[in-house]
Amino acid sequence: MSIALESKVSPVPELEARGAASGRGAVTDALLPWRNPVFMRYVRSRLRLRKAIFWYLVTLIAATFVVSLMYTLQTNSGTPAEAAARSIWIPLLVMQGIILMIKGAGSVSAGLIQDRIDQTLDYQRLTPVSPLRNLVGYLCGLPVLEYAMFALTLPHLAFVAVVGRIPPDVLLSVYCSFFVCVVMYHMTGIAAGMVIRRWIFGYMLSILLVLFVNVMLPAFVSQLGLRFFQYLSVWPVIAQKVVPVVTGSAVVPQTGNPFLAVFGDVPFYRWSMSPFVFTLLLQGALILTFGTIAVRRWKSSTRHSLSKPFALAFLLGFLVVLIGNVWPIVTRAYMPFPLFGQWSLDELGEVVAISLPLVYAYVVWFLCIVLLAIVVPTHHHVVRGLRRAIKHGRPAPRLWEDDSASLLVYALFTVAAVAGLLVLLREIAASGYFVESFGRSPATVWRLPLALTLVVIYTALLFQALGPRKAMLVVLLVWCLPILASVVLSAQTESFDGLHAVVHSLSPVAFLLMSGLPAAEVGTPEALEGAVSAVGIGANTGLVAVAAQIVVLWLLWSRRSRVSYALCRSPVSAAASLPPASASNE
Amino acid sequence: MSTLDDPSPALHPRPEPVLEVHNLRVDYGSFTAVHDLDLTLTPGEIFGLAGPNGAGKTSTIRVLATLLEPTYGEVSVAGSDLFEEPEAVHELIGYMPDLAPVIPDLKVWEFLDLYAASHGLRGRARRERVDACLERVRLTNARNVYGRALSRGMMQRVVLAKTLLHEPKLLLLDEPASGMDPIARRDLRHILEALAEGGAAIIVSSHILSELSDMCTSVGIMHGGRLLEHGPMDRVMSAIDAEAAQIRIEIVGDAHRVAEWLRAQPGVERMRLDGSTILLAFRGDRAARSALLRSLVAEGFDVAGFTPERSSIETLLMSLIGGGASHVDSTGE
Repeated sequence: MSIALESKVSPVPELEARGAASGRGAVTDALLPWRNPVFMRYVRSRLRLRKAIFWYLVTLIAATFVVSLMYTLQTNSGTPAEAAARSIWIPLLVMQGIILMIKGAGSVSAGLIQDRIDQTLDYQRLTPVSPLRNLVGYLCGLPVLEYAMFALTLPHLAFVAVVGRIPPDVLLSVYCSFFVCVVMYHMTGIAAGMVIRRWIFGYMLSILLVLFVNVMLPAFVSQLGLRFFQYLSVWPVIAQKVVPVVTGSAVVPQTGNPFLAVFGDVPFYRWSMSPFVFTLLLQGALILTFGTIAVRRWKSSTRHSLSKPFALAFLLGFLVVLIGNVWPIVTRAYMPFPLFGQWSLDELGEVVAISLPLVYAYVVWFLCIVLLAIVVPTHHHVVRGLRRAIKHGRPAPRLWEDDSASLLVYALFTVAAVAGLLVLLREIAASGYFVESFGRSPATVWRLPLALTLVVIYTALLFQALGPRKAMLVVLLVWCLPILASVVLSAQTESFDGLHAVVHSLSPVAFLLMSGLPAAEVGTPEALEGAVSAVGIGANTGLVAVAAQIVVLWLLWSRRSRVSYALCRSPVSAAASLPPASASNE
Repeated sequence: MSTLDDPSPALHPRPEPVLEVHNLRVDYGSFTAVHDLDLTLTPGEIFGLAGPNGAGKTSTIRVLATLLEPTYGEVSVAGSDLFEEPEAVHELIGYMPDLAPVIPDLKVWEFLDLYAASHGLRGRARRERVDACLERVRLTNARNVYGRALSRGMMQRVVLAKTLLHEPKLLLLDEPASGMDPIARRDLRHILEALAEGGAAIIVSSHILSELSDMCTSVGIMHGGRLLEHGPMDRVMSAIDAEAAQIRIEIVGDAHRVAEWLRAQPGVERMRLDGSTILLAFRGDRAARSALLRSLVAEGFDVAGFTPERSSIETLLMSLIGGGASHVDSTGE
């Protein structure tokens, strides 16, 4: 019977019926969402009315309630209809942001992780659809319910735009920036989905990231000199484009509200850029990065999320933007930051001389930790790379390959990080901040670049010699524990003396801080002289401790490398105990 | 190790291989899952991959499916390099994993439609193809059932239908029959035979070894990451038969005395007495078996039957990995 059935099966139609054909057909396929099978999959599954009706109703009811209530209250209090309608725009934008950015990003990462767990992602990997087209399918398809919910708010937006007479160019630029931001968050979700193993973690991480970027960064971090973080959110564009429309003022009000306190153009070295352009550039770069992660992991789930050259380029790009944003301060051009806005540049001597290099060192070190965790190969990858290289007649993997464990590459990361710091310190010195603060350039100014050099190399060796799991153990025991112990000791004696500093500085985190405090240079009150001297002791002890750890890690790595080489170079002895492979049946 | 080359290549020119694997190695850290594997499959070949757990079967299949990056090795499918042209290879291969999942919130036809579209089929051709594949696995009645409502066996059949959508030239089936009922297994065998007749090459990994011998034209035994033996099914079996066999001897009279005598004979490894029947694990070729029979008769024993039994894949597997004789003892077959 089965054989009879088989005769009914039609052969696969020839290539002309196949959409995967190259040329014009491929371009059309890429442009038309309904030709994207992945997108259509989610249209079918996520927009099924029985499941989606709840969300449609929630959106319609909430949006209609907000618009009608606010409009009625305002017009009843005598506000003109145009102004009343405009005032609804920001709440509506927030609602749209919650739908697309928070719920959407969570859906993207959770959906992708679930597909990976179910192994249905492998099915899609095995189709001839290109990684990019698959990526577009997932990017547009996974949050398709949220796009539909957003679409349900469009009548309300139309009401606001028509009654409020909002200029179309303003609408266009705001929603252009809004959607670039949405795509960036969704790309974050895709990247998280390709890397994280549990959907709940991916879901939570994506949502927390959106909240962090939109709330924490503008409110706190960007006020401390890292202003460019603010441009990862939609607030700069809202402040520049929406607030003037809503308030009817051409100038952004100096509200003091950290969310909206983005003033004028973006400082970038000697130039200033439009927030709109800067936002698009910054978010575009991040979209590219997340896209690269997704495509690499799509092609092979065992690849590193970023290649070594890309990670190094990312670090360099980050440094260029980071230094560019604080350049007006360190060169004494003007004060662009709201938190320091009430101070003149002449009053910022010690803040710029001490805090700015320290903030730079910590932020760059943190980024190096993230990037090195991505690009440093595990022992398994090192062995695989060695075997592959030896098989192809090379002594080791090529420098930039994923499986390469090259100190030269880690040295380049270190050089880039430290070079940025040296540029910053040189400008700070040239602008007279050191002289203003200490009367002269501090003799210990070399400590911070040296400390940054050591901790970056130390981080690379930590991942290389111990692997990520053991590295986490070291972070807990060596990075955190000494700090906690010294805090307890200090609380017991109500002082911070040499012993406390020695314990404290065993942690590289504390070592970096102590190396960045030119304590001996600052004129200190007599009461603090003990603490100042302790910081100096701590910096020296930390230097020895980190250097010793580097030596230990180096020895561990060398030993491991020798074992790996021995293992890879003697395949015959390893195979001797096994039966021989049979001849091919050719 | 037996040589399994075609004896008359000039008379029967070998067709272009569908799959060529050379020097394939897969490592997980210091553990080698697949050790310098060489394999060639020609059109129409149904290759059974057998071996104990951890032998490297699934790793091999996942590499061939482009889902696992090997340490090194060359693999080409119908002339396309697996690592250089993965997208071209994806058009040629069909992969069905062990415990194959189905997307839970899609209906069966939607699930198939997704992958038909992914393989570039459009419009009416796509609908017809989906319907044909559903019919092929006898799931036409379940076309509107959601994936989450399918039983284990039905899921296997749906995924098999998905795998057949684009008529792959190389099918990679990892434990395809697990969860299937006997009728579905029979259908699977017929489908694979029909595909092989159409020129596809098929790799079937299975622990149900009798199933492999039913459907496969060639077989490979993996152990410790190595392909210990492979080739056409008949020749591999003959090769094993030539070296070792299980013999059933029917005795008229005192079987114990015969067993005592047999125990002292060269080539006799193990035996079991079951009434008047002796089951014997005997190492030796046809001539040695013939000599044993002659000696039995010459000793004056009344031999009512002397039947060398054909080796199964089980005996082949056990003999290759070192458990052949004990297998005879333990099963008594």
